[in-house]
Amino acid sequence: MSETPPDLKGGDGSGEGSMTARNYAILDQLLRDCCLELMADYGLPATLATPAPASDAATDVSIAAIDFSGRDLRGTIGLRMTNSVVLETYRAAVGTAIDVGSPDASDWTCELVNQLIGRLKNKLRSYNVSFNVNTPRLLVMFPVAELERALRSRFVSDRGSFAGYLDVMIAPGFAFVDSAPEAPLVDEGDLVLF
Amino acid sequence: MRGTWFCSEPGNTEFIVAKRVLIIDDSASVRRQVSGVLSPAGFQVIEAADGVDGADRIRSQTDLALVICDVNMPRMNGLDMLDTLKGELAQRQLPVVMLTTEGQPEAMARAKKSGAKGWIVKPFKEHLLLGAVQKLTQSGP
Repeated sequence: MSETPPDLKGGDGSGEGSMTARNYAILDQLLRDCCLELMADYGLPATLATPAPASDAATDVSIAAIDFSGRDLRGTIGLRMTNSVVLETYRAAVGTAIDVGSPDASDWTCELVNQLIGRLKNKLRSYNVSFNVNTPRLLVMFPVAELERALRSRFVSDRGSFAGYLDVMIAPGFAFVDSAPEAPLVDEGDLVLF
Repeated sequence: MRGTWFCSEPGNTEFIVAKRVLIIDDSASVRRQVSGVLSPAGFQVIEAADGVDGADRIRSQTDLALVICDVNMPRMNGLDMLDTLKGELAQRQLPVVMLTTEGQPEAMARAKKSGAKGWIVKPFKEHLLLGAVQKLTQSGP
């Protein structure tokens, strides 16, 4: 189980509290699935890790984030990775090596969080939820401790560790409801010719 | 005829046409990834970093065989770029394939209405991208 910050747990016994708890539980699960699937697509199978691995030192990580906003949800999704994860996934995707701290590494870090929000957005179609997505940015001066206030899931792989963060505001009264998408789902990697 | 004529080997009198593909994506990594798939297959790949640059390249490069375009980009997104160039793309019969993390049917419908010929959700499968490019440029390079 990943970690839900205490102030987001809800579940005070009231209807509103249980709805809030369910909303965050669904987002928590989706965030976890998206992180695992993203890295698996780049040959990096991973498992949940709590607490963060010892190697996950602040000096050895790259963090990118992307903002999103819609009728029901708005917020920021973040992806924090040891540099070894950035380098390994880049090598798997592009087939060449890059250096830690290079513009290529920064660009790839941003692209990964872009693909993470894409996955989340696609999964949320099952709940008839959508939002607009901004362009990703690298977090250079951002205090990492601030991320700990968001929904978060941490993972370890044999090539390093990574964590997904979701800082989200949910519209008052909103509750996730399963709904069959009107159009067929298009998954990552799919090609549709018109 | 689209493409650039070049001699495949020194002294070879047989000329082949390298079809020119424009990749528009704000991620240099993705542009490199696409180029790494298409270039070995004989395509000549040129790049643009957003919708504004992409529109400029499309207008100035009259010999393009195909455009691959991201959706979420700074300055001008891919769908707005498509709308802007809709008439010109149709007139030139220049196929556009969207390559994006988005899988929303509304966005796909908008792209289709604006003349896009395909939609691929990242991360892409190399053989599917190459197959689509070869199909849409007819017989390949």
